[in-house]
Parts: sequence; C-alpha cells; structure tokens
Amino acid sequence: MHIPDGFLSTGTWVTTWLISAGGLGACIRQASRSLKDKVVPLMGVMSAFVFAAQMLNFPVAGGTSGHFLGGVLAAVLLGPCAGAIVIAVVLMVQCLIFQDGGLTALGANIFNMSFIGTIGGYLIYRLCNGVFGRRFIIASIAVASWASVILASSACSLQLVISGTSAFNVVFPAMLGVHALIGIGEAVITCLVVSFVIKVRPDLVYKSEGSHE
Amino acid sequence: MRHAFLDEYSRLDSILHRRDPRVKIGVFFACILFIVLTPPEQMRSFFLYFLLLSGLMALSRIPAVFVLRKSLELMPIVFCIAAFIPFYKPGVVIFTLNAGFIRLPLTHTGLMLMWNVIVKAYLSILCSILLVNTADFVDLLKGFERLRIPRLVVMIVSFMYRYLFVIEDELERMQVARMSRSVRRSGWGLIKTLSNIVGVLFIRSYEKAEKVYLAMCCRGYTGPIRTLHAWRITKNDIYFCAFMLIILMTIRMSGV
Repeated sequence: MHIPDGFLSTGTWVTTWLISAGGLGACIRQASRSLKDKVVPLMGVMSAFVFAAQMLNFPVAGGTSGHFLGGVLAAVLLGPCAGAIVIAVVLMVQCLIFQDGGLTALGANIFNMSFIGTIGGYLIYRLCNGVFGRRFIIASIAVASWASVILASSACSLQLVISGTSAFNVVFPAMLGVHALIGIGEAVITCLVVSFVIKVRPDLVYKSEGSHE
Repeated sequence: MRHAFLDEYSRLDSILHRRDPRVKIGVFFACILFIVLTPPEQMRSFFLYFLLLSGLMALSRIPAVFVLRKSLELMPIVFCIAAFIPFYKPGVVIFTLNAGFIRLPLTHTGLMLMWNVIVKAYLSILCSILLVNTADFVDLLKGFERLRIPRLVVMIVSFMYRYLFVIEDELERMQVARMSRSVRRSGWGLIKTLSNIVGVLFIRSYEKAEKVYLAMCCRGYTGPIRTLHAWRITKNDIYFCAFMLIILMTIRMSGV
C-alpha cells in the first residue's frame, strides 16, 4: 500500500503533505501533553517495535505469508495520537532508508496509514466499544482492525483515482478485494496480540482520558 | 547479531560523500521533483536523468551492482500498483482482456501512462538510494533538523534508528527460541505463538523505553537534546548545488 513517487498528481501529493504535516504536529502536541518529556524515548522505541514486528512473517492460507501493519494495535496499546506518530515515523524511515514509498508520496502514505488507518481505526474501536460494551473488547478490536485496513486502502485508491492514474471501477474492486483478505489476517493477529497483553500486563493498554501515567 | 546494514556505503569517501548533508538533501529532493514534474511524452529527458544519476553513482563509488539490485528489489511493488493503469484510459484499443464477466480494454494511452509512472518511480528510487548511501543516517537526520523539520520528529526518528537493531536482536532471539522448542508447528498454533511473540516484544520494548527514559533523566535530560554541529556549507557545496540545478534545468528545458 506504499505509494511510490510518480503515481500522484502534484495537487494530490502537495495537499496530502500539508494535511499530514499539520496532523502530525497536532498529534505530537497532544501526545506531549500527556507524556511530557517521555514522548521522545517512548515514541522512538515503540516505532522500532512496530518496525520489527512488521518484519515477522505470518503464514497465510495457501503457503503464502504476510506481515501485519499494526495501526490499530499501536492505537489500542498507546492511544490514538501516539499510535499515529509511531506509524508515521515507521513510514518515514521506510521511505528514507528502504525506499519503500516515495518521498513526494510520503504525505499521502502517512495520511492513509497513520490518520485514516490508525486514528480512524481507533475511532471505530471506541464506537464498537460503546455499542457492544467493554466485555466485547476483543470483538471491537477485530472489527476496527479489519475496517482500518479497508479504509486505508480505499483512501489510497481514491488518491490514485483523483490523480488520474487509475479508474474508479478498476482500482476499487481490486484494492478492496485484496485488502478485505489482508484485513482478516490483521484482525486475527491484532486480537491475539492485544489479548496476550491484556492477560500479562493489562496496565500497559491505553485507557482514554489521560490515565497513561 | 548480524544485520544487513542499511546505509552500507555511507562511510565511503568521495566527492558526493564529502558534501554537506543539507545540500545533498536539497539536491536529491530537487531531482525527485524535476523527475516527477516532467511530462510523460519527454522520453529523452528521462533517459538524460538516468544518465545524470548514473554519473553521480559512478562519482560516489557505490558499486553499481548494489544500486541495481537494491532498486530492482523494489520494482515488484511498483508493478503491482501500476498494473491497474493501462486498462482504462480512453484511446486506441490494442486488445481487450476478457477477465470473466468484466471486459478490460487495453489502450495505447494507458500503456504510455503506465510506462511513465514506472519510469518516474524507478528514477526516484535511484535518487533516494544515492542520498541514503552517500551520507551517514545520523548526519542526514541532523541535516533534516537544520532544514527546519520539527526537532521532535527528528529526535523520535533518531531514537527509532538507534533502538531498531536492539529490538530486532530481541525478536531474532525469540524466533530462535521458538524454533528450538517447537518442531515445524504450522497453522493456527504457529499464528498463536507468533502473536504471543509480538505481545512479548511489545512489553519488552515498552519496558526498555521506560528504562531508557529513566537513564536519560539520570543524566540530566529535561526535554531538548543538544548535539554538536561541526559542519558548515563550503564553497564546493555551493558549486555542487549550482551545477546540479543547472543540469536539471537544462534537461527539463531541452525536452520542451
């Protein structure tokens, strides 16, 4: 889902760069308020964690394997703003060092995966929590992680369509079809990881309203 | 443990390596901008960009095989996204692909657009490979900081870079432990074990972050980080910058 350079029209990549820069600034301000001076070491090490976790290959049906994305995982464990920062930093390093995703497209990639995927996923998680109640926290996480992958991929397709590099009726079914499957894997892994953390260190799971200390 | 070092050739010595990181960031970003903004019909311009980048690669003494291998490794992803393109642009239909109930007409303009996107993506990838491999990552980060990228972001990225290898080692140790204890487990059991590994990795990373933070507090950390900036922009840097911009402009103008 990392868009390379050259796929987006100038208007699209400049706009998404501006939105992402502003959004990231807001997230950092928000995270600094609750984490104070802990924000740099904590966000840094957690980005390294997400990066390392993405290198782990999970077996998928039919002998193929895939890695997970971790947007909702980061948001559920660290909170939406911190989660978005962590994912954005991972994307920056992937773009700079591994050339995974282009420099001009970095804004769009951060927009899709950090804001739509992570913060959007977190909002869905909270919404489901409100509907189902706290007892079904794992079910909410499953729904949220599946939806976050779908949302991020549709944002990506939408940008490609706006840029004129793809047609709506071709890219949408293809991207959504593939990512509906990827999302199932993401949901399974995120649920298993969160239930493990809840079992072992429930104090580390993010609780809203600034009870992070 | 063993790591594929990310910026393997960043400690070589060449004209390119000696340039100030800020200048390099600016120049390569300008290269990417020029490449991305070039209209698709100008085939010759893309060829000239490629020659320019190859020239820089030769100057930097980075082995061509390394650059080629690294850049081609990334192309499958580009092709995956580009595969959608040729099927929809209206124009002269070359042939129609019958995929079940959908008929996808392949057009000439669509193919042109796909070629254009792939070339741009490839050339931009070459630019970033050259940038990352001609400067130490730490210097590059300092360069970004000097270029007014918010300090907090740069600091988080540099922390991530510092702890990436530590956490990867942790993960590798857990993988070895898993493999020595479970004999070819597959399917659901394996997924469950791997998820627990991710969970343990999260807890250990979090605890590591706390320890690092406390250690930093012990050493007088209060928020801002002070670093030593020893380098400044020299005359050669300015010549290099001007030279590159003139060449880029010439390539761009010659195509019109």
